[in-house]
Amino acid sequence: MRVLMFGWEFPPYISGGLGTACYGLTKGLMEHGAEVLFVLPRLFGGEDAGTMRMIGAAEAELPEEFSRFMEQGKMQLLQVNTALFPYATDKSYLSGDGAMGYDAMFQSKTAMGGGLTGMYGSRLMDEVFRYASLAPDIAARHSFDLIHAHDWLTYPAGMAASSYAGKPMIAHVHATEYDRSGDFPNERVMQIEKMGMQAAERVIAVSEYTKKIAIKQYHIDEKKVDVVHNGVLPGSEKPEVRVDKTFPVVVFLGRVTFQKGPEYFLYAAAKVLRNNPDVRFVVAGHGDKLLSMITLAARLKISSRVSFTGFINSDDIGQLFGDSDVYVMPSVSEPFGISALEAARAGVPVIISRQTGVAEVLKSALKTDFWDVDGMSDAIIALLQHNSLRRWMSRNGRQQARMQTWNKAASRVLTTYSKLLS
Amino acid sequence: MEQGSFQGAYNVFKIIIMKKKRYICLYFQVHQPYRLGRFRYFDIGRRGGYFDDDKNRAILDKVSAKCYLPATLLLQDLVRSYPGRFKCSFSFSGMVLEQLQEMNPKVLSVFQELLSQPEVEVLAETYGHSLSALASQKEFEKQVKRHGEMIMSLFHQQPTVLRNTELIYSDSIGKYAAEMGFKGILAEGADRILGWRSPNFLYAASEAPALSLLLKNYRLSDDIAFRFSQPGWNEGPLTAEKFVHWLNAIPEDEPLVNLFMDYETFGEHQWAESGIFDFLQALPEAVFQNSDFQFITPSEVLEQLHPVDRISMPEPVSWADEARDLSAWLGNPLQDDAFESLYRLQSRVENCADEHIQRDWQKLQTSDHFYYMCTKYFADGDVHKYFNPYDSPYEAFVNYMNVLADFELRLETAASLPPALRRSFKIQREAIPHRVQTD
Repeated sequence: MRVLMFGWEFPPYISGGLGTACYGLTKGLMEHGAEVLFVLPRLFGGEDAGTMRMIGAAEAELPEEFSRFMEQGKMQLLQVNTALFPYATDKSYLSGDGAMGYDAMFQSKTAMGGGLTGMYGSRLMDEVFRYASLAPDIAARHSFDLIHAHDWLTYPAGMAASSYAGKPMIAHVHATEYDRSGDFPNERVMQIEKMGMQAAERVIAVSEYTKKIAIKQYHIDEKKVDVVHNGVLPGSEKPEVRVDKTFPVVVFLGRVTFQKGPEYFLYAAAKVLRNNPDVRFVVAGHGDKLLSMITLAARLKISSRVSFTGFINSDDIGQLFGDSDVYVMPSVSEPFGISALEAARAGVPVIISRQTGVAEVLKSALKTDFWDVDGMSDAIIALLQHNSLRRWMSRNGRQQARMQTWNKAASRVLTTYSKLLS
Repeated sequence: MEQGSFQGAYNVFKIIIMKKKRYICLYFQVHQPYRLGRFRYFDIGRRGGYFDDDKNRAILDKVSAKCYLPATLLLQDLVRSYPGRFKCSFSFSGMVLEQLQEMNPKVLSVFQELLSQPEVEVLAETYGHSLSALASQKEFEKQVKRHGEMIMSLFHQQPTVLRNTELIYSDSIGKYAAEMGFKGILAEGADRILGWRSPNFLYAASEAPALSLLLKNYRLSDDIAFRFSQPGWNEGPLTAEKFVHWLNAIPEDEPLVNLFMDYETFGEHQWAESGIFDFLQALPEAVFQNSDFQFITPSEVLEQLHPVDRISMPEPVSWADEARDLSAWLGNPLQDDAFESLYRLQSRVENCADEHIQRDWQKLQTSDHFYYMCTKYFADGDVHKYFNPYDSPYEAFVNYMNVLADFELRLETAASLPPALRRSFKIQREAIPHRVQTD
């Protein structure tokens, strides 16, 4: 079986969960014997290495096992010359105080386009469709059985390739505009998402939670949607558990954006600190809300107990998990939330909001509503106080995370493929 | 009749005043902070070494070459050329003196030579160039004492006049100074305090009348310190003759012109190419030739003049920015939380005998750290940016708070508490099995 897959980022240069998901999924598929043609947009200019790291396929150094797959002819990486980049609806790219590279890029292009939505540079949409316009050419040069497109930026490309080649398409929903922007979505993005999901023969949602959104917000036929939970990559290194530290650490890891609910983390932190002033909180990640979160911590007078790391790389993440005693994911709407699984795999007890997909597979996590700051702080306090609870959750979480493999996810995806091809 | 006698008395008074001499009081501030290096969350509890030694050394060397050395040699020359006539005063933060001791003793010895002249006076200030006067009288006094000891050992002088960090003054600070036995203190001659009154008199502190206030003439001071080479300034280029002309334009009954500025004005803020050294070199001669002004040091001012009025500053006044208040260092949420977090540690530091802790405590109090967190980006933003080693005030804040967190941990470890009483948190998490998971 050969799959023509449209993505937009790939390790080691990733900016969020999607690159990791594509990596894990393609690896799993190839282990099951599928062949993958992976199309990536190539980035040019505007990348700001200091904030988010990503690079076009041309420069990307592939993990060793992928070179092997490529040598065996199981995988090909194709690149398309566009300026696409992930998380384009993340407002940090539009007005981010820190992400100047992207900011400048958008500003100048919005100015060039003139009079468009104001939220999006005209060039971004241009690039989506430019990516799509190149898709038939790719489809013509390669033979494949079906098309698999990841999230809205690649749906038009998938649709174009599908109609050119007459092959069926799968729309893989990792996140929706509804998650990212809540009640103030960008209409054009929602439109493309809806179009893509409607055009696709089958839709894969990363959770039941996301499936519900596809049905409710995008009016997609329930029967057409399969749920395939993401996996977690095996940790290449064991995190160095810090034994010398004299203070408990509670960590938030993710983009500091509306979607991830960082302010609820800080409000909960303030409550915990009233109970135990020695706890240290870490906000790890970058995003358009970073500066206002730094200010919020100062207003709450808890800055002496909160560290903001900004963007951190995977080595730092390993160390952070090694330090951490509790991981909190207070997302407002999280289709999946791989990093909660990564924390669990590293043995860190996890608190997640009910508005996350990962809650469906990580049974041993403590769950609260994202807005329930009291519940969240109670959960943190309980975990810090009760060694037995923390130990129990650490052990179970690790086990559950270990079971959540990409190999398993890939075999589910293959089931969807065969449904489609039979 | 009453009217007439008042007029007569006034005339006599005026004649006395006019017969009196008129003075220029030059004061230079010398300070360099210990700038912090990048200190991440991951460094907390894992390493010491808060300061960017390379950067601090590079800046000290640069400023020494451009300002400290040439300006001090020039002043030595002037003192030698006009013995007993050209006078000036300095204050040095403990921070810059420590750095000179560590990294550039040659420049320190040049300063020492200048300060050994009776024409040059050294003032007291806080050791750490800190905002401690706003946090705690106790800490403030400790720092001024610590600074005084250093001044005594390096310059063999016992200062009688105090200048607080960034010329920050308030009625309470006046009281602290008076309680410590100081006879005078320097302050900003801010319009909102003086109203119709002129800065060119000696004043007394309202809450501590024994303490005299020397108020900066900010217009004439800033003509030299800020506007000297400013493009588009219609008075530029400023010559010593022109400046003396302005001095002469001051009403004759005003006896004192306080010219207070950063020492770095000479060669660093105003480059040598601007002619600032030529200006300084020509100034004494121009004053002696074309005016009846004399140079005077702050403690001599207290002997020569009597306060004409009491001045009250209930709220702190500084010499910074247009606002001349505390807003460069305190007032936004970041600065306030950092400041409060810092001084929350005070009592614990007091109980700690560790000399490294004590030294870092001074360095962390330096006002510059709070200046870097300033979010005012109006007219003053340019100056702030020039002095700020960070890309943004947020970055400065996050970095500082990480350092402070580490400092607090060290404080706990160094505290003389028996181990059993120390706060601790035992890690109960199991170690990860060594087996590399392959799933």
